[in-house]
Amino acid sequence: MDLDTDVPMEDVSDDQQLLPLIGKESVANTTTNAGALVNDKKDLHPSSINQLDEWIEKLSRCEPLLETDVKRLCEMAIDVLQFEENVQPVQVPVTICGDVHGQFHDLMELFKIGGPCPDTNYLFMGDYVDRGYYSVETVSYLVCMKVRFPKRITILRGNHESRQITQVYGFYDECLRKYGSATVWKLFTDLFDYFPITALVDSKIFCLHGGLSPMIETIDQVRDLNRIQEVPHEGPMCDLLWSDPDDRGGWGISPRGAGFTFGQDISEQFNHTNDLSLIARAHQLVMEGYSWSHQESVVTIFSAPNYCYRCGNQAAIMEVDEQHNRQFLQYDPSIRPGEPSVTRKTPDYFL
Amino acid sequence: MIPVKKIFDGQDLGSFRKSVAYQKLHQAIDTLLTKVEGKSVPYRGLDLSIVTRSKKVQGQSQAQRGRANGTDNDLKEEGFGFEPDLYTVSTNQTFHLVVTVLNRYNQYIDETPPIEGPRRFGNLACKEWHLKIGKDMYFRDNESIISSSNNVDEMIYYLNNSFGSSIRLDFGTGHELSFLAFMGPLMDQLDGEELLYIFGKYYDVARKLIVEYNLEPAGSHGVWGLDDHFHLIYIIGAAQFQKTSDSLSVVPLVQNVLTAQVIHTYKLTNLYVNGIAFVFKIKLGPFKEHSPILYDIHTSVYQWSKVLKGLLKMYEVEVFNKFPVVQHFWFGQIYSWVNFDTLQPLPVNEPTEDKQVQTDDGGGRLPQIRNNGSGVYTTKSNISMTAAPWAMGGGGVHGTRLPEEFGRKK
Repeated sequence: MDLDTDVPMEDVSDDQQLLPLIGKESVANTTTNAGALVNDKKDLHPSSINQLDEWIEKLSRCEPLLETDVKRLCEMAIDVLQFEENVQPVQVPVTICGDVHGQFHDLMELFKIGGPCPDTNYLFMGDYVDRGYYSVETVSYLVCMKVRFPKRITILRGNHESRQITQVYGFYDECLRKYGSATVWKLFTDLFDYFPITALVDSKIFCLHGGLSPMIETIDQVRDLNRIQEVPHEGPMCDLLWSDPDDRGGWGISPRGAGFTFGQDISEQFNHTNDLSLIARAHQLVMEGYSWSHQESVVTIFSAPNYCYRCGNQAAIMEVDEQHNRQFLQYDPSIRPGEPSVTRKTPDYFL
Repeated sequence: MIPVKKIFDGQDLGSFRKSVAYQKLHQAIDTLLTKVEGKSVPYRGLDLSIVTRSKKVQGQSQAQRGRANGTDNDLKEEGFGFEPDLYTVSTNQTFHLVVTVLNRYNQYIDETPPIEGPRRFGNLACKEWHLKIGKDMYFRDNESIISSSNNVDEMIYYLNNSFGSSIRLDFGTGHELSFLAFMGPLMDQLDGEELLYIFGKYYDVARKLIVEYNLEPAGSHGVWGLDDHFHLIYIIGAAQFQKTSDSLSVVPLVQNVLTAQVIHTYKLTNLYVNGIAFVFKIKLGPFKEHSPILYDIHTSVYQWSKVLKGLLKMYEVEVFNKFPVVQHFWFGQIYSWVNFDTLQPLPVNEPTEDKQVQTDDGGGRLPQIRNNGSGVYTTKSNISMTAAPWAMGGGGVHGTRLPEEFGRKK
């Protein structure tokens, strides 16, 4: 992650600039990093940039991409995401965001409040799909931004970025209704396997969707996991995406049926062992959009205002500046445009 | 006999469809729908406050606001004429027993205010409410009223299970199904209006719980489900709107149900419209966006008979054939795990200990963790492995099994 820190636009447009950089900065040239650069190079075609910009423009009008374009997008995204690390390093300044859950208009509001990407760096902690009406548009948009500005935006995996969960909570149904087949659902859920599962902001803030795992004591143990797979039903990778902090100390059984609850003693021990200042996570609705727990060793960030159209909660994002100062920005549901423009097919049951 | 769990993985759904329980649940639906055809929910069967968006009053819980909203005066202001309350008029003891129990459960909500403080989804006071109904002896003490049945434990189990999960603090169609199971053995003793009154009371208690304690929708499809919490309420309401030879009452056009006028007119007499009124109460945003399935019904279906048929088909797929829903339905003597044709017991695939505690993948060892200073180390043998509710089907393979309704052309 020493690469590119001072390059203003470290994204696909930097074909020409990146090549000399490889020679200059030979630091930490693990195979992974080298691989990423080779792949960056492959994708740095101006036509790809034009294509991505076109897609982003279309999506920002809340219009879903064509199935064939989703296929191309997912291929491009795999090329980027497969070389990211289980613990993806992220530099400050960065704005950290929680669950979005298909609330596309609120995501646009988020970028208004936090500043447009790529001028502002973003780190999203998962749960882009399910529950809301616009999961397809939301995840398409974020993945486009990821491919277009790979060093400016980080998208982690949430417990909803999974084949099994999306079949229950709506993303599958939405794909079927908006595209008439499950192809797009298959493309995206296959892509989700490549999403990094945690991020480390400046070696100090550990970011992930759910929480800690009794099988993980050090961040290095996260690096050892094989993450390119469906979210397992148990074990460390599952826990990282499912666990919740709790007022009770120690480890507890999670009422969710997956992951664990962990107490303040666990968080403090983990932060101490790994020399962290904070664990930032999402995964739980909090009425003010953010909520501290465990004496400020853990923060929950939730970025879907009036969750499910009815919870009446505010949303929040957390800005972390170069000096590691933190600031929370809260926001309410965006003013809704009139009607959803997507055409759907009538439910089969009533034909 | 207290019911026990029999559905452990997706394969057990096949046995479930052959079971006496499955047959009896369907019989209960058939009886219920036949009895309510062309009937209205009697006066006071549904509470106006449940479907009215109340102004936020500082320091008042929903229950407190509820009491000040839904009086005879409020009803009069809304244009509903005064009628005697069936509960005070009826001499049917079974009817009285069930309504009294539901009223008591309702009262416990008022007596168990949500816990103040940082709000999280699912208020913990709800657990206390569940403890209170668990201790309530009224139904048991009066079991002689429900003649012949000596399965009072089983009935109370289904009744108390029909108000959501006290562990997960959620509510879904499985709980609604449990109330149907409770009512099944009583249906012969009740007429259509009494049934509608009882179901109205039940839905009001359930929705008061949902609002008061912020109960999460259990396993919802997000906006792509029919409704966050209920399905049967729409079926019963659609049945009420079926034309019968002796009913002369006017039925609204299917396409007009989402209009303010129809909602106002029918919200206290028809469970379908009442269900929609509750959606309008709790959701903000465009209706076609937060409730696209309901919206589609009212833009593309023209006959109440089609609405009812569609809802029943959907119920079969989304409730009876959904493992995440029916895994929580347990079996006893009334609803037995016995083959309906052969009367032989159905197979039980209870997972063994070995199968439940799986080895961690990747050959990694569990770190020895001292639990909260208790001195007990977490080891592979004493750690509770996670078993996600959605993870039980298909033998734990990370497959991409599609929901069944899409594989089977209905």
